[in-house]
Amino acid sequence: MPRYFFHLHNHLEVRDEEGKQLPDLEAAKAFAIENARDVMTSNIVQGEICLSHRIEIEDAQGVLVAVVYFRDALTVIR
Amino acid sequence: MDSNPLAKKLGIFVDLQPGDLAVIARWSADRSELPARHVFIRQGDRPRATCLMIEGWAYRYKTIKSGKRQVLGFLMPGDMCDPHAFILGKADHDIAMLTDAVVAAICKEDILAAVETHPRLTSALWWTTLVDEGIARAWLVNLGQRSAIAKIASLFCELWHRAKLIGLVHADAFALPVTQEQLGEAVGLTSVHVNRTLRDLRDLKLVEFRSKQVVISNIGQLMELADFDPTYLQLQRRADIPARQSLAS
Repeated sequence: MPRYFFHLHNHLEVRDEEGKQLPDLEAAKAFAIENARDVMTSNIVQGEICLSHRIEIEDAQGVLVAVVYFRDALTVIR
Repeated sequence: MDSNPLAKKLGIFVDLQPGDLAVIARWSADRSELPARHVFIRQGDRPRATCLMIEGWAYRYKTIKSGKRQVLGFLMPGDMCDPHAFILGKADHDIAMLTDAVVAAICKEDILAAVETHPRLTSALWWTTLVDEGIARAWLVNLGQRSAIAKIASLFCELWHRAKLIGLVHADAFALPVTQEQLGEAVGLTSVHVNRTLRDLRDLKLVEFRSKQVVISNIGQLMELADFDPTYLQLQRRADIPARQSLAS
């Protein structure tokens, strides 16, 4: 299984040195969405989320293969 | 001090006598070398023996239907997975090695025989069981009530105190053979969230976790951040428990 790396860009840039083996890019995107939602929970309890924050997905060669914005991980109903 | 990690640990609680040490040596005799990721016991298995960690680390976890795992605790040298495990019909969680490890399997008969003849050792085993329960309660509080940073800080505080007790902390550092993902599975956070939180701890100059090594530069400040009170680890011998001679020694 290929390894993907999930670099977080919120108030600062946090590089993922460990990565995670996942079947394919679709699975990697789903993983990024789940992680984005979890990171947002910490922001929400402090009363704030920033929808332009993102997780960049890189493959094992260091090529950027997808970007998941926090806004894409949520449906906001007003 | 005895080099056997269990003797080292129990020796904090009671004055082990030669008879007690002989029992511990006997318990530690049936050793096997297990590779990292080896599963010692699976949920649903019947426990045949109690495992005693001699070298290396292991962990307990439960896997749910979706494939997600909750880590339930970490075992380091000197830790036993439930001295009374054989009483249970079936294990309710898995125990697997985090590192290459040396593990002693203690059979039921050996434990029961010692319990009948070595009251001091028996009370020390109760003590470890009660401490383990205290740790489990602390994990519940952690999972239910703390912020992400306090969750990880508090877990590091627990592991630092336990590692220090058995002499595994050197110059503020100890080896923590877990991935960020496993750390997340212990505190209920995803790995990106763990990574982000570790960054906060690093920026606060409290903890550096890199290459499976934890460096805590100021344990006092970290304990304050985590609201961590080590009393539940019972690191100090109680003055009101006399170190009486055991009947058999």
